[in-house]
Amino acid sequence: MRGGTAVRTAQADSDELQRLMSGYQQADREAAAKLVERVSPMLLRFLAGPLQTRAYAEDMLQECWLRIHRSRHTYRPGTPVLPWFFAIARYTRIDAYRRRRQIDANELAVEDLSTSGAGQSALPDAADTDLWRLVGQLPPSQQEVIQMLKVTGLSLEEVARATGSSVGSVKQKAHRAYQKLRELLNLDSAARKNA
Amino acid sequence: MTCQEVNEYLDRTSPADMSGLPEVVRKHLDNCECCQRLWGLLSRRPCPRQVPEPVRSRIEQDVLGSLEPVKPLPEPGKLTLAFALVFGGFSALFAVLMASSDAPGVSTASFAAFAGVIGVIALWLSVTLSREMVPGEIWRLSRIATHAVAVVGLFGAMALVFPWRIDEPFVQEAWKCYKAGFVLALPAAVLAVLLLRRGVLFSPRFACAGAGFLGGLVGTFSLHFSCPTIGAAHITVGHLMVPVTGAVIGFAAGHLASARWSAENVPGPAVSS
Repeated sequence: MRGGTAVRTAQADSDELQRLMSGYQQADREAAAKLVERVSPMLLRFLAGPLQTRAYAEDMLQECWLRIHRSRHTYRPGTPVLPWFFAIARYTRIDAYRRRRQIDANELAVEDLSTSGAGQSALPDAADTDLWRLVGQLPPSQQEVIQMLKVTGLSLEEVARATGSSVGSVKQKAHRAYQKLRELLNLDSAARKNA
Repeated sequence: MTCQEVNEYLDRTSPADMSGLPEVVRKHLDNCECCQRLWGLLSRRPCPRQVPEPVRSRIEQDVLGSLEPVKPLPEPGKLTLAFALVFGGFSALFAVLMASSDAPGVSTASFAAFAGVIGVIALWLSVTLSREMVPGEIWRLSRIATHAVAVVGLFGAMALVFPWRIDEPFVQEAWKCYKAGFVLALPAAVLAVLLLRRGVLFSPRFACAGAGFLGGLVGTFSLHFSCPTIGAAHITVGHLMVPVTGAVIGFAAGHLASARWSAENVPGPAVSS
C-alpha cells in the first residue's frame, strides 16, 4: 500500500512540475518562481557533488538556470520534466569542469608546480559524510549515476534520459558502482578494525 | 538471493525506505555484511541543500527579468520529418536535374535497392538529429553507435550491389564525382545545421557530424542517378566518401563551435526560438 502511495505522490509531483513548466513557457511569473523554488535545491545537490565547494556549486546553479532559461522552448509539454532539467545541469557541470581544468592548467603553467595541491584543498566542503567520501572515489560516470539515482532520487528511466543513454547502460554503471562501493566499504571496515 | 540480485532491488527502491522490501532481501541483508554496509551507506542521503536567499533571488531576477512566452519545439515526428524533407527535397531536385539518360549498369532492382538504403539511412539520421535538439531524450544506442550503423549500412549495401572492379581512369573519374557530390551536399548540410540551431546542442560535434553526413547523402543519392560508373572502387571513393567527409568536416566544425562557446563562456549553445 505504501509503495502505491509513493508512486501516486511521485506522479502528482511530476504532473505539478509539468504544469509549472508549461506555465514557465507561457511566461507565467508565478509558475516560473515556483519552479525555481522547487527545482533549485535538487539541482544544487546534484551540482555540488562530492568534490565541489558550496560557492562554486552556487555559481554553477546560476549558470544552469541561465541555460534552462535560454533552452526552455526545447521542453515538450507532457514529457518528464526532471530528466530535462538534469540533462541541462549535467552539461553545465561538465562544461564548468572543463573550464576549471583549463584555468587550472593555465595557472599551473605560471605557478610553481609544487603548489598544485593547494587548489584542491579548497574544494571539498561537501565531503562531510561517508557517502560523499566513498562516492568521490568512483569513476566520474559511476559517480554521476549514483548521485542521480541515490542522492537525487531519480528513477532508472529518468537517469537514462538525463544522461542520454539507455536504461541498460545506466544499470550497468550503477551495478559496477555498487560493487566498487562494497569493496571500498570492506577496506574501510578493515582499516577501522586495525586502527 | 545473491549480492547481484540485491543490486536489482537497489536500482528500484530507496534504501531509506525498507517498508516494501521482500522477506528474501531482508534475510540476505541480515546475513551479508557487505550488502548490509552498502545498504546502510546508500540510505544516508546527504542533507538537502537549501539554496541561499541571495542566490535564489539572483536566479529569479535572471529568469523573471527576461520572461517572455516561447513556442515549444514541434513534436519529435515533425522534427524528423523536417530533416527527412531536407534530404528528400534536395535529393529529388538534384536527381531530376542531373539524371543520366544512360541505363544503369546494375539491375533496376539493385539500383532501386541502393537508392532505398540511402533513403533509410537518411531517415535514421533524421531521427538522430531530432533527438540531438532536445535535452532529456532517451537514446537506445550511443551517438557513436548510431553513426557507425549509418556508415556500416551504407558501405555494406554498396558491397552487396556493385561489382568489385576498378574502372579506368579511376582517379580522374572518382575525383570528378567526389567534387560534384561535395558541392551538392553543401546546401542540405547548411540547412540541417540551421534547423539544429533551434534546439540545444549538447554534443555539437556529433550533431554537426550528423548534419554533414545527411548533406553528404544528398550528394551520394544524386550521383547515384547521374553517374554511369558502377565499379565498387569508384563508388567507394567518388560517391561514399562524400558523406564520410561531410561527417568529418561537421565533427570538426562542431568541435570548433563548442570550443568557442566554452571560451566565450556562453551559457549553452541554445538559440532561443
